[in-house]
Amino acid sequence: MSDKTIGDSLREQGISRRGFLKFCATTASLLALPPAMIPQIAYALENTPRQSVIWLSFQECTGCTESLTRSHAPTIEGLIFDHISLDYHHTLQAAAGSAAERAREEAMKKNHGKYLLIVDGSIPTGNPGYSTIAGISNLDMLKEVAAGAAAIVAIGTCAAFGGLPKAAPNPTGAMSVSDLITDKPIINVPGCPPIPIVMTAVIAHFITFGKLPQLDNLNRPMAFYGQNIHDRCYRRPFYEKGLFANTFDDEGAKKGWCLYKLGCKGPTTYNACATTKWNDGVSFPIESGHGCLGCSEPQFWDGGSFYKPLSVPTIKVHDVMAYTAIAGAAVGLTVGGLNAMKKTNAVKQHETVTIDDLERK
Amino acid sequence: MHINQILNHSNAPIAPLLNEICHALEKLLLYHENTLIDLHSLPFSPHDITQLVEFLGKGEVEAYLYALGKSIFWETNFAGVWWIEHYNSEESLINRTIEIAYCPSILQAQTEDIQLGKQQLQQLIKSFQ
Amino acid sequence: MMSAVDFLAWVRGPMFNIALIIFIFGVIVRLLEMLLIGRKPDYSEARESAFAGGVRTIFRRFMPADTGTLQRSTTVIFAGYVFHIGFFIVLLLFVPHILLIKDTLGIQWAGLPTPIIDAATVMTLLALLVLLINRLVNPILRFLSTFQDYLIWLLVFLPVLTGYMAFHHFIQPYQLVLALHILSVELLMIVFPFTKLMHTFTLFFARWYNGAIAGRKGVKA
Repeated sequence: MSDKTIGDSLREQGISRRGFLKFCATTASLLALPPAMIPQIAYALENTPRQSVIWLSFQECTGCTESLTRSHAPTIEGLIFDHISLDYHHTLQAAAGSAAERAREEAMKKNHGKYLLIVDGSIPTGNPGYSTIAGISNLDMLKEVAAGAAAIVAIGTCAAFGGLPKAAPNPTGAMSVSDLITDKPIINVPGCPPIPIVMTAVIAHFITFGKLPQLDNLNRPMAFYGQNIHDRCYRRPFYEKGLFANTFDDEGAKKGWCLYKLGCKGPTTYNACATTKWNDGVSFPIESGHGCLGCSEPQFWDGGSFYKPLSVPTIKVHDVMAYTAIAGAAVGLTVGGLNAMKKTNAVKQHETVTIDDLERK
Repeated sequence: MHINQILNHSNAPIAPLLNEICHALEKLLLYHENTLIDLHSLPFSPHDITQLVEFLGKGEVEAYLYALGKSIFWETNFAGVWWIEHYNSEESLINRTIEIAYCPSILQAQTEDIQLGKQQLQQLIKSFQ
Repeated sequence: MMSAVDFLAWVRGPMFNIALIIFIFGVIVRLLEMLLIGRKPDYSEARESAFAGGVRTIFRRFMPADTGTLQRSTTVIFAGYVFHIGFFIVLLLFVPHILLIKDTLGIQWAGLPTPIIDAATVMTLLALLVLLINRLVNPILRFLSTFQDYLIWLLVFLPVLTGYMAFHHFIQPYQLVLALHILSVELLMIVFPFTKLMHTFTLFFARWYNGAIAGRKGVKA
């Protein structure tokens, strides 16, 4: 870690105090912190040295890195990235082969106990040969690097919850970071991919406050995953009014009505898409006319069809219903038949009682 | 557009926002306390924002700040209610807020900058002597 | 421990299957068993149509029989109506419920805006509470009440309550409260065929039999 603070490097670039405050105000907005926190953020950023970051990519598609690097530079998230020391990221770094691995080992040694570990991709636990880097299995590398980390950020649904590799039948025995590492603070930043701003904001929060932000029950930062898509959706009033799109090209779809019937998973999804949006704030899936897939939730691949409403069972019920009805009818008819036989027998065995019989007693 | 028309045609929580602004103005008058409302965290569609801008209107003052990209400030038709848009150097919008203040806090000269300016001016004066 | 997501997946998948099988199987067996018992042939000459009498009674019994009954059991009748109507509005006119019916039975109809459903839910819950209090306060009703009566009350109350809680996000995360809501309905489906809940179907047969017998005799019942 160099001793230069973020404040120092901003000033070196000729950024005024006003500019710095603008940066802090935007960071506060990113972190969903009340504007009253701006002075605290300003103080922390003014005095914090550059943070060493090691980024490990396991069973992943590089979509998370794509999302991050496609964030419209130079933005606030770009600024934050300028001021961390990304010591290892095998897709982005210039060094390759043993030089790259040496950079990782050096950073680990130099900043032991202080560096931030970012992981994207899930970890195969079946055959270690499913995914290796420089001949080291993902599991071994994760354990080695996690040991000296101050905290771990699991970026993307694969690292956070297992994601696509873990979807049934999970051929590689994929696991999430928190399935394997239990002795370090872990923050999950799920999404397929996560919103770039969310990734940088989490890093910014760690730099600013030296600790993880407030997390929810799935270890996701509350600031971004505290509210669900449905609650923050601009189409929500149509749900309340009972106005739904029934197909992707009907009148309702054209008028921008609620997509619940088309399988939107907004009600069970916690993410910041509805407020932070994508592509520099242009829109988010629901705004583009497609329901939410719930990509920031565990097992979103196995949660039933993307195009069936949430209130519908995830299984095919028609066969079950038909067979059950047939079995029920068969048993019902048998019981009815048995009852009828009993009745007939009773009638047969019925003996007429005469006055004499009664008087005999 | 009339406020009722806006409220009837919009799905955004415009009425609660107007209430919040009203309370903030009260706070400003009573305690001289500024309030910043972050519009990014509210579920407003671009259409809602346009309507809100139209409703609040533009007052007498408009200001620009050039630091890390442009920022635009204008006082709305309601004195003390400022519309603020921060852009980055690529000219894309990064933050939109409403500040309820006598003057937006970021527009005021900052103590550190004033100190720096004073030093520079003193040096300049010295060099003349 | 099972996560909320796993729990929701379970109630929307395997558990729904189990509940559905027990519900359909149980209802069909019990209805057939009851209907196949049949009735003794009536050899008397019909004075009037048994059919018309049966149909008439099915509908007429939706109204309180006489002012005496109405006065004696005002609470039960009034709260009972509010509960039943409210319950059916919530069950059959809330859009996510209609989508479930569409997916399982293939039929659908228009739903109501959620504020109306919300109001109906509150009415239903209040009516159910009134009915429970009445059952506990009225000495005769309390004496006649069995464990099953209280169990059924609870099992009917829970889906409405959890549905209300789910809609208003009273429990976080939403997956958990939604799963609890679905589970409560599944419990109701499982006990349905074996308890007095069967009156949903049997009330029509019972009324039909009564009405048909009376109608045949020419009694305006």
